[in-house]
Amino acid sequence: MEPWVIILLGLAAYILLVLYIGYRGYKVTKRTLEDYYLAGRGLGVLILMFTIFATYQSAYMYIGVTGFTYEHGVGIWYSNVANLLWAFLFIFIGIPLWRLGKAFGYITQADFFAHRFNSNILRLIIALWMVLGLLPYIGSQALATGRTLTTISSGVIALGVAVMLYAITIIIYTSLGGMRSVAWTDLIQGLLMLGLLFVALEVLLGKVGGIPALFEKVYAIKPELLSIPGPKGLMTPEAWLGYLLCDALGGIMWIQNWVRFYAGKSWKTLALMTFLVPIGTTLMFFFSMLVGLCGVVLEPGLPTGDLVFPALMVKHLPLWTTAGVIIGLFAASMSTVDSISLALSSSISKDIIALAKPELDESSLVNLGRLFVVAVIIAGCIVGYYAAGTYLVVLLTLLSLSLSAVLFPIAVAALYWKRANKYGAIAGIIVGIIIGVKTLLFGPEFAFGIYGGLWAIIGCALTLIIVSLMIPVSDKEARAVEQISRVLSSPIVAMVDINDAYKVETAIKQKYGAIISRLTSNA
Amino acid sequence: MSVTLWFTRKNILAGFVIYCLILFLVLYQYPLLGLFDEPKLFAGVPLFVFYIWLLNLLYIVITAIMIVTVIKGEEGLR
Repeated sequence: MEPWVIILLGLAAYILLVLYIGYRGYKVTKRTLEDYYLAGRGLGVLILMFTIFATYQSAYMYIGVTGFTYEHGVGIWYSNVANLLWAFLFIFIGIPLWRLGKAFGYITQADFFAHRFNSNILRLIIALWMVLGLLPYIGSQALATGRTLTTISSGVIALGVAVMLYAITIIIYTSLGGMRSVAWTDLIQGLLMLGLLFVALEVLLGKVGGIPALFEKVYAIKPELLSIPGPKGLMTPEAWLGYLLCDALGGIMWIQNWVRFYAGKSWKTLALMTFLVPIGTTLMFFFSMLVGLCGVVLEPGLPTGDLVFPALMVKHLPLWTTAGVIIGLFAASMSTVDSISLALSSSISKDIIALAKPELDESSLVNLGRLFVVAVIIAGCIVGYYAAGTYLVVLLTLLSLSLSAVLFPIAVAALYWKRANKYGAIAGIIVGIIIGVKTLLFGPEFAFGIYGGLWAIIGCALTLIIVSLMIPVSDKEARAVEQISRVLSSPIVAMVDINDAYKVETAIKQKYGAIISRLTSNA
Repeated sequence: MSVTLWFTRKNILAGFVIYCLILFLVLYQYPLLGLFDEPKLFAGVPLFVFYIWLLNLLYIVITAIMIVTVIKGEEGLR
């Protein structure tokens, strides 16, 4: 039997497992937006930890981090440090959003912004920006995974077939069971991607003589790989700071991460993620970095870093390990793409379709959402397929993160600055997008020693502040500010009653306001 | 808008902000990383990787202690 047939059989077993989990999720998921897209806001510590971990870690870890290390060395740790910062920011962004989501019934990312700024235009802008920004990312995942399968099978499985197999699997289990299926499969996928990468690393370390021997050999071959800025001088102080901040702030704003803030069982569940998730990401980065360095010793002279992982698999891993690693790669990649497609489908159905057709009920929106999962994945895979000549996994990811990070100042202001208004938010986003697209896509990437992604964030923040100071907040925005402030500050507020309580209080003030004022002044 | 969050006191939140700034804008940044910016090995591991790993370990331990303390303290606030 051909080796690639054995690999394919292993992959088929994995695919059957995730499809079964998808089916189980389908059986218990109700036809409500909250249940389909947020698993009824009931994810516990273990599931939430793995779904956050697996959603953020993708083929990027297998192909991108190994490839970046191969070319630029240990400077890749900027991305791990960014993961830690991202997790720490849950305290200021994620936990408040959990409570607001529960109090006001947010389903999508744009729900929060539309409520706070009382603007459906802002809702549309954010929804469209996320769709446009994340389709290429889906494409890069499909491309990286499909290419590896094609390489392993020596071209017997064409890239198109590999991408199709990948897409159909995700479409079935994600559209069936929604967030519940995605979160359950993330648990399995997270364990597989971490465990199987470790197995591959063990085999490779055996070939180079262990960790100390690996570092000594790399030191002898190319010592600059073991320090910053690396052999090509990429990781300068400006790049380190800029990449790190854009990675972390963009990670917070990525829609697939954001909706997980709503899905936790309690705020404590989410609080624990600030240190539990970094344990997984730190381990994963360490494994990936070592694999990349093994490539320096075992496969020197590759034309591009992103080739190192497939090359190591083909030439240096035994068949059973390669089969495992392919499954791990599929798991890593699928666990991200399923989450993105689900989050984008929720945004399209609730932020765009429901806006145009408000008469649609929740069940119809869920059914439409299932179709949008299909559409989003197919569109992303087409983008990936036609970008097949490129190898830009880390840089493509960084681009997507940086462009998403433009929204970060808006989120902070929406939560913590009462003067922020919709005009400031819209103007800030537009300015941030223009600066981001100009610097990151057309260059120069660094201006005055600052990374273009950071300029986009700074431009957005300054515009937001200036415009918000020039124009007062509307009455509806002021009301939203008061609601949000109250929900976030009160330790005893009953979440389900907050809207009703506000209505009652407003009615009392309107009817008896004069009497209350008189009594208060007399007292 | 208030920067009060229901689960902890304002001064603790301020402490979180300071901790975050010191950690991510000082300890993890180039001026300090630059001290380890030599491709030499320390205990068989590159000095740079060793330093980052030490900070990561500290982050995980210190953050875990802080979060667990806040979770326990929240019941008192309530």
